Amino acid sequence: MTARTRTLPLAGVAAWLLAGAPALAQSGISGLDVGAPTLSIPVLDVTGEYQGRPICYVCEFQDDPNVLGFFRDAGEDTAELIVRLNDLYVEHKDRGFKAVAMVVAGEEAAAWLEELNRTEDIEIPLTVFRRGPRDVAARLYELNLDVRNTFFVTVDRFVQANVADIGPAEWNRVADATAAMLSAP
Amino acid sequence: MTHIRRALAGVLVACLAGAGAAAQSDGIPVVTADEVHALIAARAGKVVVVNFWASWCPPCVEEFPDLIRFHRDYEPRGSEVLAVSMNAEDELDDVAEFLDNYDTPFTVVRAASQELPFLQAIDENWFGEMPTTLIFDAAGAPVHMYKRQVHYDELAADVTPLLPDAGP
Repeated sequence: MTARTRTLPLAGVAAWLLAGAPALAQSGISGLDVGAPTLSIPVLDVTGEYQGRPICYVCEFQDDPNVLGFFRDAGEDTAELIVRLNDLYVEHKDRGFKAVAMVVAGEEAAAWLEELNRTEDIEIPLTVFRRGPRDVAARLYELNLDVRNTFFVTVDRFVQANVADIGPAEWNRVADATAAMLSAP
Repeated sequence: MTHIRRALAGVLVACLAGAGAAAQSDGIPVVTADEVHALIAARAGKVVVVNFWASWCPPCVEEFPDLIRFHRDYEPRGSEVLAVSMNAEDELDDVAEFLDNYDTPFTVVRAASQELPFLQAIDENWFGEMPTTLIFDAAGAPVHMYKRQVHYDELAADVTPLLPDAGP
């Protein structure tokens, strides 16, 4: 293979990346596909039962229906969505439903989560990625770090619905997917 | 390259088997998926219960005493537990702290990888759910798989018919 023929495929890949990568980032697409298994990931528990320790809530939930909420960073919208997620949990917890909030930004968000927990009386565990955006969990869950959030509605450790990059006004997408999961036979 | 890896796996298996292999909280051997299969093969004639766990997995922590009790009760009858930690390299202190809580009577190794190729090389139906427990019969064939916490009674019910002294 000559130097010239070697560079042609590389140039093609580079062009694809240049064209495709920004498109993906702006698409609002993030996370595992529907039907994908949910992988075991340890996160740092900030306010939950295992406060201060690395813990895998995906493991803890086992086969129970749940919502895994990944949030890129702290902020007003994130706070409102966490409160909505908590409300969803309170509404359905008698049916074995579980939920967890995981902030990708990492430990820098821990104090903010503690304050949110105090002021809003949150029941679901609030957690952070131990290594921030570079945590292996971001890769395993195929999170697009350019979007604000990614929610997985899951049961039996498989993704039933994926909702990404929403604001509080679009929360019904998560709530409706959860209701559909819980009403399925 | 493959024959070198197999030879190294053989050495590891020989070391673990020869040592009688009660787990040490420090210096836990790191194994590839091939080496896990080699450890199972080295226990030919026994029913092997392979448990994948991690210190940060609450149901794994909860089921560990059941695994210890099962091993103590069934090891004389021809069954053995093999525990594979899925903790990463920077979690060794957590593993050590966890194992220090127990007088673990069975072999404990640590997976060389936590990624999908490792999981799929263990079993194509495993995607990393934890805890996961696989039961292999005396010929080394996989017979049962639990992708959740398993209890002593379940293990006993599954393993008893597979034991060498089980009736027809």
